Amino acid sequence: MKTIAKLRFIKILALLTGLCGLVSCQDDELCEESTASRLRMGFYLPVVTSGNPTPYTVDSLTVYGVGRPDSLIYDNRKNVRSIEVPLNPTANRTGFVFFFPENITDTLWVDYQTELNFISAECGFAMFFDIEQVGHTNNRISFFQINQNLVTNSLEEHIKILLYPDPDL
Amino acid sequence: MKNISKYFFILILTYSLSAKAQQESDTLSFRPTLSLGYDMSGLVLYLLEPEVFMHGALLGYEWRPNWFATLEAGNMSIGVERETHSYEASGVFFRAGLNYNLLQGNPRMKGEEIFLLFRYGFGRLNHEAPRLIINDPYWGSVEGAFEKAPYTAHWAEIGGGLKTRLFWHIYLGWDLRLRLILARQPGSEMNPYYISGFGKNKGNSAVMLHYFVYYKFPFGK
Repeated sequence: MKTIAKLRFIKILALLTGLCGLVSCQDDELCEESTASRLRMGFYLPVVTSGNPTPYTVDSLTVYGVGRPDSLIYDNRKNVRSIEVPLNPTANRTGFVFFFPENITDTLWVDYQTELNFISAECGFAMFFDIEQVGHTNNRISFFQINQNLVTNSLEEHIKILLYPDPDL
Repeated sequence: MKNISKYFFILILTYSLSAKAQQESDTLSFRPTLSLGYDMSGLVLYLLEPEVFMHGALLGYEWRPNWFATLEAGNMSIGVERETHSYEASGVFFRAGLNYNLLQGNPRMKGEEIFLLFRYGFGRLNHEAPRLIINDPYWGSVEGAFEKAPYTAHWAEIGGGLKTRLFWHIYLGWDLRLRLILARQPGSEMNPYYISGFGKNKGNSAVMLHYFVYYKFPFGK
């Protein structure tokens, strides 16, 4: 008799566990997810330490999008280790102009495919970008590595920008 | 020494014959069972996310002891209407596979199951965005619409769960499944919010909890 009662208890407990699990999947009604997809790039020197390029801090940096010189994304920002810039959602190519110290300028182009994503009822839509190709001038930028092709609303670094060593060093 | 070998041989022979007889008796007493289930997780999802309707049904056939061939089918519809955006989707899905009951040979738990499951899934949907805004403070906000487009996906799933008798021939059970996308055929540049039968479209995997109510047809009783 005791065994049957025990079995029933275990059965009910097991079913309730399932139901609680189902209810715990609840989504909040507020938009708690970012709909901004930013291209994240870090600066490095092409000196490999333990298999990776060495992170580098740029003394000062100004960045704007090609065609928008009046609207600076970074305005003489000091000690910049990494940046995040917006890709144009209505185009398949966006360029950025970089002003490094000593009046050295570079332009970096990113070619991509766009992917429209419905984030949630409250957040609406966000555009994700699938990087296909990157090109740049070679004044301070030496080369680049693509870490992650898909630019979403997550915080991953997508591109490593490798710089020529500082001329003052 | 000869005698010991003889007795040992007789013992093994007796045990083998008795095991074979038991196996034959189990096979002879086995009657196939058929069960029909409704997936209540769609109702719970509706309570949590009223824009998403998902219905699913299951047909299970125990064709040999503890092995169930299972076919699942259902549909999904999504309708989101906000001031800044709207999104609509409708689709169907099919899943086919096997359940294996681990509670074999326990007479006290007859008809009840703790099972492992394997499935292949296929989902097809059409979706559209009649009105949308992409906010971009630097390049400017984009307003527009996305025309109706198809989307299909194939996936595999593994999982486990349990089923227990509630009363009469009615059973309740839940299972937890891990799904892995095998292939997708997007018909446009818009990714679906949910893939019918798969769940939320966030990457190539999804974990879903299903809660079923079953009617087990009383065959062979």
